[in-house]
Amino acid sequence: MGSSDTRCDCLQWLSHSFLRWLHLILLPFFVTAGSARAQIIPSHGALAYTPSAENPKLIVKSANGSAAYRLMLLPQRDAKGDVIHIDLVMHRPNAASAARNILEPEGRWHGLQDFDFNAIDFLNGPERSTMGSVRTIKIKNRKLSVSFTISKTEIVSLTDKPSNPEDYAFKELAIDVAVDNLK
Amino acid sequence: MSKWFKDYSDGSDRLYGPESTQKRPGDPGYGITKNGAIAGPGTLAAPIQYMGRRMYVPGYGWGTVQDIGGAIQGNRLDVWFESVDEARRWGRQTLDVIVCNG
Repeated sequence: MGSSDTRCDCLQWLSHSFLRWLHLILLPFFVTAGSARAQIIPSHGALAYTPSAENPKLIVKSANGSAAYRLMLLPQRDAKGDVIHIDLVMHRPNAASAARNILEPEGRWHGLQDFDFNAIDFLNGPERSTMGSVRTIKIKNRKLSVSFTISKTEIVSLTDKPSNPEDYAFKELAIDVAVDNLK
Repeated sequence: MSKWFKDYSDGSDRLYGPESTQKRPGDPGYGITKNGAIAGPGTLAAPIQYMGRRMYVPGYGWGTVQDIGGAIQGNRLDVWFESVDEARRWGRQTLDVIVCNG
């Protein structure tokens, strides 16, 4: 009896010990696998265009804490220098400003996109703009989701009798942006 | 009108229907160009630095750059057509295009 109990205790101890070690060995694997799924640390911030101020950038960090992407509003000017169009652009941190906008769709596409802001489109406020005031772009190949809300717009007419899209310009555009991993 | 521009467009890109926009009728922004215009005869897509410029495309006529696109790289230009058949008849051409100064 006594020796059988001792054997049982020994087996139990070995079994517990083995499970403890297995747990310690496998834990880092599960932690690593979990963080590999998260491409970036979810980020949010405000971006704004005004003629006088330096345009802010939103830096999105990767799961390991390094800078992964930068977002900013890029004004497009007409020949007179008025900002008639603004793009929301997303680039890798070290990419040239003329690099392809990561928010652009993959493959063949034309036409107005969620990241396009035309001054004339906001004459009746962000809610009535073509693409609406709340917009989401899913970047499937990078497993990212970029959502933004247009919080403020101020449009000025450049002529006494405006009739063309180019007759309106931005005085201000402000958006709240959130970048997250695509679920 | 001082600058010449090459056209390497692919006919399959020359539409504003689902074939080349990734949008369907009823989607927000369907048939609307980057600069907010309604796409139609004379709508051209070109690199962003040509936005708003008038161009003369031999065999097509005068148009205005109102858009960009996924296939617009280098000296490539897409022109608008009413139907897929018209676009396919035009096909892909290499042309000297007149660009008006902005």
